[in-house]
Amino acid sequence: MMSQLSMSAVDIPILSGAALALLFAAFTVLYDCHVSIQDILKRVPLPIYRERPAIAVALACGLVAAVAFFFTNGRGDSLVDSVLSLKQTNPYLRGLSVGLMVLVLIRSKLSNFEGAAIGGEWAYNKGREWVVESLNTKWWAFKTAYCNRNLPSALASFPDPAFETQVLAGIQAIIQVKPQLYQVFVQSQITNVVKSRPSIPFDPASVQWEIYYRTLMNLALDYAGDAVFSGWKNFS
Amino acid sequence: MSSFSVVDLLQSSGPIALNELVMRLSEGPQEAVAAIKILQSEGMVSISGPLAKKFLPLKSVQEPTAGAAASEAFTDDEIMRASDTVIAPSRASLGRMFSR
Repeated sequence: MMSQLSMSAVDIPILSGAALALLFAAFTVLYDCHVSIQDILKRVPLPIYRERPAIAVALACGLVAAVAFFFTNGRGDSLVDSVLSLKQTNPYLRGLSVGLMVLVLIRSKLSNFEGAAIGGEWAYNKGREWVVESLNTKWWAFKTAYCNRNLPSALASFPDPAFETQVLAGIQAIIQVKPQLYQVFVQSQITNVVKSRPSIPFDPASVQWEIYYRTLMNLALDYAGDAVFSGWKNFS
Repeated sequence: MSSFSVVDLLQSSGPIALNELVMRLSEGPQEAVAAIKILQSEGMVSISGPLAKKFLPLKSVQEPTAGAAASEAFTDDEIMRASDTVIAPSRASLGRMFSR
């Protein structure tokens, strides 16, 4: 009994350190995924922490951190120990340090092979591609369902209140707090879409007007989110 | 608008219907389709839906006669009604973004 207790006393800080390494690595990876994906998507459309691929990538990196934790002792007598543990002998602080630093290990030349596109960086990029693909698939399904649900209300709202005017004003209000490049990128698309406005008189049954309204709605969802339509009558 | 901007647009919006993509670009329908064909040949986009076959190069279509028909240019009207043909950024294009 005494030996079991003393074993637990020895193991708990180590196991806690490994658990901390896993948790902090997972959070770091989720954050890094969010930031890098935002560069591509401009506006990450869905909460990334709810995406299964993102959770899987984060947990995989967390496991690498937990395993790496057992190769550290805080004395800095190996390269991995020096890089990850920052010479922390306290297992809790070492767990924190390993968790926060493990991406450096995964993406460093240490886990790649002579600069070839294989190794840790390759695997990490594949993981991020998987996350973006999953986000894209869900986002496409969301937009399609949203438009199918609300397009009849949008078409019925013509001319008062004018759907077109309200959407464009809504997009511009939301993007004005974004970086200049983002605003220019979205504004150029708005200009192009408005140029394609049907020349025939408005008719809710017309395919041309339906396509035009759908394009405006998707443009708003892509770059300003569904906040553009919040509070709109008959929109869900 | 250059073909790089088509990729940029696709990467920022995710999958998008062909007619919506064309409306968001400053190019005309024919120029936009030509740019998409180039991107598809480079493996930067994937295309699904009824018009996907028409984007394939002639040699990859099985029957020569069908291929000749499929390689004909799209009409503007056909492009602007293509709500069910979806253009999406390919994994290769996402991979290139992350490798930068």
